[in-house]
Amino acid sequence: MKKLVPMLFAAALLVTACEKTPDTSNLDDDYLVYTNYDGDADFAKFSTFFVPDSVLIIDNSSDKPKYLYGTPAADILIANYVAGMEAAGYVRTMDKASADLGLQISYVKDTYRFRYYNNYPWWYGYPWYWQFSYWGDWGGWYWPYDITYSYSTGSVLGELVDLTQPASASNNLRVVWSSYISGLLNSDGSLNTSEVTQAISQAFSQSKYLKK
Amino acid sequence: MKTLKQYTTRLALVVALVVGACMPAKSQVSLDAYYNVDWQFNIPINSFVNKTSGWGMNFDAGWYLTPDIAIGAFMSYHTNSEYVDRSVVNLTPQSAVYTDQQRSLYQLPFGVTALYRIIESDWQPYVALKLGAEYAHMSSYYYIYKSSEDTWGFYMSPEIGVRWYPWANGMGLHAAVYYSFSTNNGKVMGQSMETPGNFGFRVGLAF
Repeated sequence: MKKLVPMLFAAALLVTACEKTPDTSNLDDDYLVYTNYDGDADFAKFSTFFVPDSVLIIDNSSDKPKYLYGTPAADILIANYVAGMEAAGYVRTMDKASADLGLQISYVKDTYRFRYYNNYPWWYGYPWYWQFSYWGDWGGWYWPYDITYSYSTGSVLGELVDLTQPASASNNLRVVWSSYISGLLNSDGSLNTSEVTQAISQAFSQSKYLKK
Repeated sequence: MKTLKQYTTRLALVVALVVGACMPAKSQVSLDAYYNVDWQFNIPINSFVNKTSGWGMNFDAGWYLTPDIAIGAFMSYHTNSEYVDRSVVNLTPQSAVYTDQQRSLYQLPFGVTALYRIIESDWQPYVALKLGAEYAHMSSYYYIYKSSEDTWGFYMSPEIGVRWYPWANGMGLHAAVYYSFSTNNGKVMGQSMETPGNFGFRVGLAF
C-alpha cells in the first residue's frame, strides 16, 4: 500500500489533468456582425453615397466575375444597406462621379477560392473582387485597419470607399468602413431575409460614428 | 425528553471528537508524508469567467520535516465556463463584433506548499500556504470561431483543511477551503482578466 500510493497519485494526475471543452450547444447559431473603420476618417464630412445596382458573388468561379442583379436577394441586401446609410444622414445619389462615398456589397456563396487567399484582407488575390478602377482612376486598394476575421459561406461584406480624395494612379482607394456579416443562410442554402434585415441594421447600430 | 436526547447526542459527538483528536495517528500510510487527491468546487472572483463550477481536481504530496511542519508540492486544475448573451464587443477602438459567446477559463496552478499541522491524531487540521506559478487558458467560442490566449502568472493560495484517518488501511478523507489569486493578465474578445482570484473548497482522499 505504501508503495502503491505515489503510483496511484501519479496515475491520477496523468489521467485527469486535462481541460474541459465548454459546451457550445447553447450558442444561438444566429448571425455574427463585425465592423471596423478608419479611425482617421471624418464621417461627418461625407454627404452623398453611390451604390452599384449589383451584388458581387464570391464563389469558385475562375473565368469571370458574377453578380446578383435584379433578384430578391440582391434587392434586399441593397435596400437594407441603403436604408442604413440614409438613416445615418447620407443621401443616395445615382451619379457615381459626384458621390462622396461608394458602397460595395459582396456575397460569399462559396469559399473555395478564398481558401487560397485567406490572409489580409479576406479577398486579397481573389481575381474577381471589386476592381478599384470601377470607382475611378485609382492606383490600388488601401485598408487603413487590420481585418482579423476569416470568412464563411453565406457571409455578406459591405464596404464604404472614400471617393472625395483625388483619384490618380499614385493614389490608393481608401476603404473607410467594413461590415462582415455571417450566418445568414437558411437550412436550404438560401438567404434568410429576416436575418439580413436585422443583421445589416445591427451593423449600422454598432457604428455610431457613421453619421452625417 | 426530546431536549434531553438532543443534548445527550451533542455531548456524545463532542466527546467523540475530543477523544478522536487526542488519539495518536497510527492509521495513515506514512507518518512522515501525506498525499491528497481531491475534487474541487471553484468560485472565480474578478475573473474572465465568473460562474462557479465543479470541473476541477487537486493533487498534493508533502513530507513532514517535524511532527508539525511539512513541505510539499501541489498541482490543481479547474475549468470555469460561462455563457454570455448577445452583445456588442469592442475588440479595438475601431472594431466591434456582435455575437453571443461561451467563455471558458482553464487554470492550472502548481508549486510548493508549506503546511502546519495543528493536531497530530486521526483528525489532523492544518493551515497551509501554496506558492507557485499558474498557467491559465482564456478562450471564447462564438458562432464558428474561437479566440483564446495563454497566460502565465505568480500564484499564491492560503488554505485551511483537515485530514481524517478513521480506518486502519491507511486511507483517509480530506476537506479544505482555499482562497487563491494569481498575477495572470489577458484579454480575449474584449474581456480583460487582471490578477484573478478564486475561492472554493475541495474534498477527497488522503493517504
